[in-house]
Amino acid sequence: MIGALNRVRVLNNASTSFTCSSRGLRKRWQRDFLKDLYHRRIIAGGEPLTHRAFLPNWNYGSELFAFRHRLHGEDKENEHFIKALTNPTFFTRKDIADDASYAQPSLEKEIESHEDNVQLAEEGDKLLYSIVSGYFSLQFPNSPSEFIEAITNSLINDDVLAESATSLGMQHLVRTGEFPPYASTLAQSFKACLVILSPERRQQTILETIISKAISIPLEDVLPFKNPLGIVTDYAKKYLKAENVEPRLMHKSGVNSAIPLYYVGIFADQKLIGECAGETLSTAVDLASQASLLRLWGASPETLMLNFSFNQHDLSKVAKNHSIFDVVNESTDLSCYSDEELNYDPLDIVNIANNYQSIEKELGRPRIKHLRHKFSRGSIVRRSFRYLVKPRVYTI
Amino acid sequence: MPARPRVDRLKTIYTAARQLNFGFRLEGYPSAPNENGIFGYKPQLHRLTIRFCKQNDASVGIRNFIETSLKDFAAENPQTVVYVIPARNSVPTLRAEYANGREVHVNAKGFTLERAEREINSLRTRSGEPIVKFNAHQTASCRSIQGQWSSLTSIDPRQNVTQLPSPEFNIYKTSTVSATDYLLNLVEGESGKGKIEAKEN
Repeated sequence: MIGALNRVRVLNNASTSFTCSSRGLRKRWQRDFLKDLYHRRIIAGGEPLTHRAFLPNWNYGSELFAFRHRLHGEDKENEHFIKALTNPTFFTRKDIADDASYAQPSLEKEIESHEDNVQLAEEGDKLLYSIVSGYFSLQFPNSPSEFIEAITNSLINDDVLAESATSLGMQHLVRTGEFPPYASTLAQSFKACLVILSPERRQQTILETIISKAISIPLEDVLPFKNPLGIVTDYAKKYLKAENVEPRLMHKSGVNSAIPLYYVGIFADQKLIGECAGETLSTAVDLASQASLLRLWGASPETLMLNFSFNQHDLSKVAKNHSIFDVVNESTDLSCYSDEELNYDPLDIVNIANNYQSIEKELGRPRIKHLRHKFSRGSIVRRSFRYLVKPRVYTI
Repeated sequence: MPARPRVDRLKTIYTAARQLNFGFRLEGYPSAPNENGIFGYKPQLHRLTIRFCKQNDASVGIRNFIETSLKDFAAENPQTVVYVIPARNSVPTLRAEYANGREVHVNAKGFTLERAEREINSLRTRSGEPIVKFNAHQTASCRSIQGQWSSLTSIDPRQNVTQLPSPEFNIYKTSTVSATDYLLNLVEGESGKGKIEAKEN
């Protein structure tokens, strides 16, 4: 990339990446040639994706050194991390298997070891789970362990870990057979790297990279109960010593419109414990119950960092919270919505777009306002003011 | 046609982009990529590549920087890899690669040492997000501290069970206190509610 700039004359230094499309018309006799070049490039297609290591400015040792500092792992040497970053498929890769020299990304001439990170990754998986669930157990002490487990699983899945790994630059350092590295490979290497760090530093790294993502998790969708009212009733009866838990309609608006609003509150012994709005009465009751449940459990984005002494605890040794089955009756329904049910949208845009022909047959063509005449295409030659300047478009 | 690397040039682009329909890329809100800063700050600069010529005048500042401040810079930023590439007959340049995969290119032609230090420090402290005009000078992931207001927030639920219109809910509410109310509040404050009730009776 940087070498390329030397070979090709940089045409316009003062340009940017997305607006520097052309230098101008140039000479008449050059245009045909350039047009031909353009079409050849289009036919040839895009440049193949190559590893960062193929560029001249790459030194694996230095990159590992920097990577160690990003992970708070500067007290351990490079060799441990090389083991953690090596996937077993790396050795099946054709050039490595043939023992080719200078095989990327690590210029294999120096690295002799044939160890991989499978066992480290398993250890790391358990450690990661214990530390993350320990953190949430500490911050949400009144939540059941099933809730903690659900949050932990949403933060520990491969895609989230791969994203964190990429933000640390691991996608260029990982040694694996495929290119670009799969999310599962990155996640595996990330877990393996965690094992190598010393315990306090490991905790700090996990806090910074993984637990900080908890802020964007919608907590009501972690355990999306189908019938939360029953669960709230059980919890209120046990912890608030309430005798009577009921939902009451607090406000309603636009009942006969396309966007009705029902504002429901859950009352335990005539005291409000949670409220929410919904499109229908049943949705509003469910949402209000879920909101009350989260309030009783003390789980909200604001209480995510309530206990500031989390660094003084060893998060992997935090005791488990109570189980939801200790509080809830046998008859209470604890089923949850699946992901598809949660994301179900009655307006399926894709289906509508695919079946647009049949919709048009029935409803006819919409009267779209055409605006082609509002945009001027410009001109090489000088034209009148009226031709070149079209009215400014304010709304489309 | 030669491939163009996806690199931001730090010269002004606003005039050109505004004519095209890329205006949406010029505005934004402050943001921290990778949730940086919640539990700890991580510098987002991963790689800095300095290309310079050993001879020409344009690289003077960069050469001075390399001789004097580069060692300290590298020592203070162990998480950043610094590549130094001497190349003849070329314009000196700085290229920074960030954690979010974006790159920033600075044409360092004619820099003085001071200017070079300032630019490199600016690259060090950047997050790698594109430079945009802020629509607001702050952002927060917490949407509301006290809870979002809606027109239903402070409605008395007794309104649901009374026959409207009711004189109770017809009172015009205002924050400006009348003289009578002010005096009544003073009296109430001094001696408690009992006296007022006795008066009304």
